Amino acid sequence: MKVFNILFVLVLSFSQSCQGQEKENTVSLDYSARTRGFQYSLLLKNNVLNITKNGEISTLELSKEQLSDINTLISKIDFTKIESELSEEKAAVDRVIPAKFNLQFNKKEYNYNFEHNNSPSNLQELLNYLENLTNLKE
Amino acid sequence: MKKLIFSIAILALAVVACQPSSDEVVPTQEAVSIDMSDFYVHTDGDLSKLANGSKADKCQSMKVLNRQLKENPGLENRMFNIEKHTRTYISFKGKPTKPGNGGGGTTPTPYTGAITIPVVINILEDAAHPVTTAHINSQIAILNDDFNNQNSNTSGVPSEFASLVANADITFVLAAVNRKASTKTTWGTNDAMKSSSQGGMDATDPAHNLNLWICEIGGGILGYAQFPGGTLATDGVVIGSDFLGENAAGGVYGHGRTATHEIGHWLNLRHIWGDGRCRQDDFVADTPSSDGANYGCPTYPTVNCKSNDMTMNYMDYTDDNCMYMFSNGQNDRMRAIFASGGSRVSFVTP
Repeated sequence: MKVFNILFVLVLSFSQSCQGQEKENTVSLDYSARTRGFQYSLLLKNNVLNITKNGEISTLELSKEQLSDINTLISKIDFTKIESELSEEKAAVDRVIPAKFNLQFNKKEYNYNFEHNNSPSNLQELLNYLENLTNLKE
Repeated sequence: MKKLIFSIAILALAVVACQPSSDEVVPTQEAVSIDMSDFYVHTDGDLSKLANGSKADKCQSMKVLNRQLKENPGLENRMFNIEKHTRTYISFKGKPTKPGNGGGGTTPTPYTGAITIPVVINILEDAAHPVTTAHINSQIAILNDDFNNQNSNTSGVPSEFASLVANADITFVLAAVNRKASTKTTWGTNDAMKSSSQGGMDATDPAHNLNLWICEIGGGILGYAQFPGGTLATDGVVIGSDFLGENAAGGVYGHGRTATHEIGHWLNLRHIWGDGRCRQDDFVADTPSSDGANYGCPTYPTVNCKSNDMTMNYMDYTDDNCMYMFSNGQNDRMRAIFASGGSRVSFVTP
């Protein structure tokens, strides 16, 4: 009985640990940009990538390798150094396309406002990587 | 005694800590009486803090704003002064919740005469996106319709807004067409098309002409403008080649309203939703509050911020055929910059 109890506790701990790790690596990304004559959205959730550009839709189920690459790209980003950067002055005369970035990763959430196609380099690298997975190109 | 002096010093330090320093844009006494408290030219993040935040937030926001002002202090000051001048001329019709200058004397009014704007069109020609004489002439005609309340779609304005429809009485006259061959497919929005040294075309006497640049902008941008008060050499409006005048290549944006919208900015109009949430204004009293742009061709009514949006306004983001009015308040705002001391008074003085 003692052995059974020990085994039960061990199995339970191992299972919880794996679940925790899986949850930690869950990525959810919602990026959207819109102005008069242009609409773009990128949604990554539950391993499915969905990109819409001016009404054209591309959907892709990501492989484990692709998800691993995405995790690596995100892990490299130092979010403490990233701030929203959207010039109201430029948006007010249609010179830039305002974009909203929402990322949930490792139980943390990050929200920013940027100019479309002009996000901080490592975030833009992530967005470009995701877009290149689909057949929708800028 | 020492403790008392020390306490007073600490108190004084706390009081002055959040005061703006001498290099910040500080409204003058005159400006305060006009009420410039909601004027903004800064980033989105700062705006939410300024609009809703605590004093501590505002203090932090001022620090961020000051950093940005240092990057372009001249422009910010010029825009502040233009806004102050505009409000001087339209404050008698100002927002009831924020009373303006109630002092005596003659009330200044916006410029009342007919306004004629010579237009110089600078085309960076891309063979794949030709700009024809028909495109040019139709664009001038569309501008004259829109700025003289002659848009045939205006009959569709809902009764709620019918009394607000303005005749701006602004006539656009084609002054010159300049063409230059270009193989560049993406000019971007950094004004390179406005400079011959960067492959573009220099503006023609922008103090007396509205310069339009027609080129392949790229990146999803239909057109962009420059508010009054910016650098004179880049003053004007840029329009994508497919969106000038009646233009089949432009689809729902092929009926010339990109130019109407951008020239609205050139005449000091903001987007009708104020580029922010409900409390962020377009500085026009008779346009409803809204918290975002409208797209496509909305069915009336579209409700935001507890009122119906004026989705048919030229300064919204709807399709070309679904925008067909300026409001009287917008007309006053445009005309204020042609009044004495205004940023575009050179267009109405010989």
